Amino acid sequence: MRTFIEHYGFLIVLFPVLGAFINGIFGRQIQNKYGEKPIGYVASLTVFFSFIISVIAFSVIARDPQPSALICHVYNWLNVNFVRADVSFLFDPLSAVMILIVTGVGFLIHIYSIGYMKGDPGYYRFFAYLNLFIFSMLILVLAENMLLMFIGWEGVGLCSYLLIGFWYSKKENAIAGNKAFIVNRVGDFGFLLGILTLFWSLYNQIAANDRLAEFSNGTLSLLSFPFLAENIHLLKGVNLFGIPEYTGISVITAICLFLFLGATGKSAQIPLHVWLPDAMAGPTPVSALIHAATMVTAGIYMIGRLHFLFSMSSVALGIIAAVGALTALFAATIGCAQNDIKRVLAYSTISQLGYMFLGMGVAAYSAGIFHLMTHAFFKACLFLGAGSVLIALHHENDIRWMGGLKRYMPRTFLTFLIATLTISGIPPFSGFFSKDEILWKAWSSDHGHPILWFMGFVAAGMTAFYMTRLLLMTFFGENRRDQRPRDAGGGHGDQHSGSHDIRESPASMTVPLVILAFFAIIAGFIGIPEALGGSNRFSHFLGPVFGSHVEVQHHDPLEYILMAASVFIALFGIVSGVLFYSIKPGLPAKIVSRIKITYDVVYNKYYVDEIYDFVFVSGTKVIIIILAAFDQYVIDGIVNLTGFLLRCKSRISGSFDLRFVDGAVNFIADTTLSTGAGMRKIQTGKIQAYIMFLFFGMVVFVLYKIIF
Amino acid sequence: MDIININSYMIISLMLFLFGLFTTITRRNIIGIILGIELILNSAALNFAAFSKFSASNLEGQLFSIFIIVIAAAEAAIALALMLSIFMRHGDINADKLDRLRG
Amino acid sequence: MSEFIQNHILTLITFIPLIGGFFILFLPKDKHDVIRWSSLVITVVPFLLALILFAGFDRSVYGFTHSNGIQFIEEYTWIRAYNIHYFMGIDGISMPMIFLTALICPLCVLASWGINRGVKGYFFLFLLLETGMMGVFTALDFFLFFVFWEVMLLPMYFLIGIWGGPRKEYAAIKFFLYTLVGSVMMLLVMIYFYLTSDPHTFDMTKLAEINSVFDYRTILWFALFINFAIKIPVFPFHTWLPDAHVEAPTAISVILAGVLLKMGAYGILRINYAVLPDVSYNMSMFMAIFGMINIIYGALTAMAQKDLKKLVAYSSISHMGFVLLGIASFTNEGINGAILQMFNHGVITAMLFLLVGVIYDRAHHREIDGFGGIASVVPNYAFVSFLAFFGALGLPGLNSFISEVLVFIGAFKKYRVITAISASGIIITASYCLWTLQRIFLGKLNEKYKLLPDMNIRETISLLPLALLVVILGVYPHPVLNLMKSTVKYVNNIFLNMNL
Repeated sequence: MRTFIEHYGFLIVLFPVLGAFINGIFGRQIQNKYGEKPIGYVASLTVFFSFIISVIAFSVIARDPQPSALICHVYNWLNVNFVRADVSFLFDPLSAVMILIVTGVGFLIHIYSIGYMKGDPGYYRFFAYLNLFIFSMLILVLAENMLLMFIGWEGVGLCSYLLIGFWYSKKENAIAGNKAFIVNRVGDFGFLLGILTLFWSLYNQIAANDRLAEFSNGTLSLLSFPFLAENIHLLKGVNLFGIPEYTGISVITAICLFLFLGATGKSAQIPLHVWLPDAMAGPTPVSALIHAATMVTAGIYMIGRLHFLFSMSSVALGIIAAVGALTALFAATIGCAQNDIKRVLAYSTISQLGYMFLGMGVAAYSAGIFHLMTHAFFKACLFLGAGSVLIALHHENDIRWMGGLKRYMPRTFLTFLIATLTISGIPPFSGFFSKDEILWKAWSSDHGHPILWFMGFVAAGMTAFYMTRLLLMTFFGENRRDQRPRDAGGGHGDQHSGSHDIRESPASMTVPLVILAFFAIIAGFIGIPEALGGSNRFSHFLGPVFGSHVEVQHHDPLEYILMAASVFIALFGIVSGVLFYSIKPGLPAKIVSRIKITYDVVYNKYYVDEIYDFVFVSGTKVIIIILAAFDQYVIDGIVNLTGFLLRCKSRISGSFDLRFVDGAVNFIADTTLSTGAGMRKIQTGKIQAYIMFLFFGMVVFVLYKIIF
Repeated sequence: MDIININSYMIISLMLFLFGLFTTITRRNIIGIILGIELILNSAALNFAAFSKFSASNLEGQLFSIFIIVIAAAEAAIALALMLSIFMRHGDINADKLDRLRG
Repeated sequence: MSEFIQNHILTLITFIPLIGGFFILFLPKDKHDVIRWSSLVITVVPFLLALILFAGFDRSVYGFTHSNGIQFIEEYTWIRAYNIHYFMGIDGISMPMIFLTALICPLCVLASWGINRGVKGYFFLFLLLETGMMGVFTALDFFLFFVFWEVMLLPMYFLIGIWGGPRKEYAAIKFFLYTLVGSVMMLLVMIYFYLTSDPHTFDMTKLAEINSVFDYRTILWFALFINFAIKIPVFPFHTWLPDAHVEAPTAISVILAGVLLKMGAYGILRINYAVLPDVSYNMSMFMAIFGMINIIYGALTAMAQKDLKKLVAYSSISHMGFVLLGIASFTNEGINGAILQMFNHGVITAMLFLLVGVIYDRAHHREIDGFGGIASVVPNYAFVSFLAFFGALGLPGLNSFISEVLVFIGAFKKYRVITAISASGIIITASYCLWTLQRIFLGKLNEKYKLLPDMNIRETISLLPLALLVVILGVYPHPVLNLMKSTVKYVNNIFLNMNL
């Protein structure tokens, strides 16, 4: 089996791209001729095949007692001097977990989409993009070197762009897509700088150690992860290009911060979080797959992949943890005030990603990855549930006009409930274990701090609160559809009143929901902390990757206290949610009116979008207009001025030419003419006159001869 | 014999030439002009004969003189013929009026 | 026969278009289709020869002398009195360019199918232009190089000036004067080189060998640089480019951006680097800064454009900045990246201009804001446009990503800040590319274009090879990279061994 993966592991990546190719190139003809079915089947089957091979790979990795790097080398992609990058796939516990999540959740969402996208004219396009996304994500996850990872890194960004703007005839969607891609590009810029800095600082160290000869046969790659893991210690204590190290900016810190900028872009952390809520413009399965379960976790995965690098810089880790905790809290507050079901979930995603970064930032890598996994299940479940609701309500997004759906959509409700409890951190659902482990590490780890824990703690309470609010407003109470003001936008112009047409979604949509909910319940059991008598198998499984970072578990009584505290705050959040939105429905309005300004600020997402819009978008527009004017009037003006001056000069020299040079020529001609006219008079035509001239001429000559 | 030397011939020839020239320039009538030209020709013939007599032993100069006389006769004949046709064309043989070649 | 081809392949590849052009002149004037088809056949022949060249090219050559490094040499005495030779040969720098030229010309003939006015003259001048371009890339005698350089200028002037848009005379004159100013400088330098060398020679390999005899090196370098900078074009000598592009017919824009701009960078590598290596090395900072300005300035100005063709023109300026930055880096990675970028940019910008031509033929305007939502009407066109624009913004997996990354890696070794600022250009590039795509293809469908026809067969054929190259070279760049690698290594080693 091991050799199978070594030789054919690339099939995992190949299948989805094959599906994307078939659907992308021939999809339109297929759809016109044979309908939607073959398209959905092709797309889902390719992902399913990938999933099968991923399971094989996973079992190979899991069974191997001493997992050495399992690399599937495909071909050499780039080989210029010291820049060498292969298309090779790296299988280790970390990537094995990730491919399982990507292909597994991806497959379920493909199945779900078959039902969700029914009847859309761009059906083939949707599945082509979705397959392309799975392909890119797998490249990102399996990449053996940083440049290949960068392909996946931007590839998922591309798919995200294409899918956000999937319904492109609405301008807002297209703009949201642009925003996502461009904000991500800011992150990619950081990522690129990180690669550049890493490359040359490592190169310099290797050159200083006289080890360049190792590269001469051209098989070793400077940017491959195994090589980096082995040689990163060379960078210890190296300062950043001559900046003295006591300023705190070692080269490692600089690289980490650059890469982290990339991670904030992809994983929607402060300050680059703005694109994710807008990305909800895409179809809901996309939000579930890309903007919740997989793509946005790429930043966390990247930090996990390069943990050896990040571990060397406590400054960078501290910043990551702080940004993560801040984002978790910040996004949670916004989540409390949103009314769009998908936006609430989007802010919840940002907040949960913040948790993961908090985990990574305190060097609790396996905890971060653990939360990544559980989050993939429950957040995909939540989004797909939301999608199911949207289909039933004909794309009514606003939870203020929902309510009472429990009766009509029991399966959706049940899975949504489970997922809500999971995200709130109620034991024994998986979210509890993963979140709690992060919170415990935030307090107890060497890089942790009680303040970090406290921020996460508060955010956990808020998460429970807004999720309860969402659940109650969507599924409980009376249906408020009739109360929707007709002029309140809505866009779809549906005039349905009453709730008689609300019905449960088809099986292709509910089955994935049930499966995801099932995993949301049980996924936690593989990572039960030892404090609760578990064996934390997940952490041990990832042990070979994160190596020394698995700390010795000592049974600190504090751990139990913190655990109890987080259960308590989750329950508190739920209870207050119930109190606000079920028992005393008038209370929220009252409180809001009391803290109007604060509420407005939070409701408007702290005006970050507006600030960015003003500073960056308008700023850029002003700059480009100035520059274009500069180009047209100054630079080109100078050119035209030069041309003008040259023309003037040539006109002057032209007139000089006319007056003087030409004048001289004309003068000669004129003189000749006038002389001729004068001489003409001599030509009398009288022979005697000629003879006289002749004679006198002779006389003159003779006289001349005689006198001189 | 000493009195009549080459200078005498030269002087006579010069006078003949000057008379001829004068006639040629001043006459308005073409016939007069022709006569003047004949005088010039004769002065030249005289010169030839004189130089031949005083310098060489053979008769080349005299021969030329005869040659000139013959030419002059032919020329006079042509000139008179031309004059006749000019007169017939213009009704006049005044040289001043024949200025079609004027520049 | 095959031996004849083998021995004279460069001459054939250069002059077949010209001979074909004379053949075109004898065709009846109003048989337009005959003229078009025979032009297509004539331009395909050099492409086939380029394939032979590509197959027979020795990838491992190293050096810049007759016996070493230069291949397919043809050398005959041309003007004995002045020691001028007909000396042609190629190495790893010129080979990709020849291939690019040979590839783009047939596609341009396809794109010129719609020319109805003065067809015969157009195609004759076009073929003459191809001869000029091929000649520039194959000539290794400075005099011959100069002759071809000027030969190229003339047809270009007429092609813009006769078959161009409304302001064609202005654009053509501007192009002509700009280029001529540069040529004059090159001419002076050439004469200086000739007179100073002993024995007098125009042979570039010999000039490179004896380069230390030249005085006034900095001035010479600048004179040459300005000539090539005008061609690239480097800020602030770039303003001829947008005008020429906007006014030129589609195929000529393609040639202009796809091939002509590369001659500037090619010239710098061929003459400045070979003959004046020390000054080039000292001036690297200067070039890098101008590369950076080109990248950022071009991208920002492109964003402000309302005319699609002008936008693409400014994007060319931005992309050629990468080339300049790469060759200024004096690293293997950077110079390889720069030459690869020349090739990639040739492919992508050709695509972009062809695409602009396609839409202009249908809508008869190029205002970006004048479209909207047409992706649903012309899906194939939208697909290719997305591919081209994403190629232009350097999406990983497409070809220009590789060259840009190589340039960045190469340049970062020496110029950290400059490279970092240049790298921020990827954000700006992404912004204008996506913004353009959004305004043209996405959003609400402009009712005016409800019945816009999609690409026809001819347009598809002209775009397909380029689209395939964009993808294939993105995942497997070796076919082009291998051509240049060892020559670049040689060029770079000159600088490494100079001990400056």
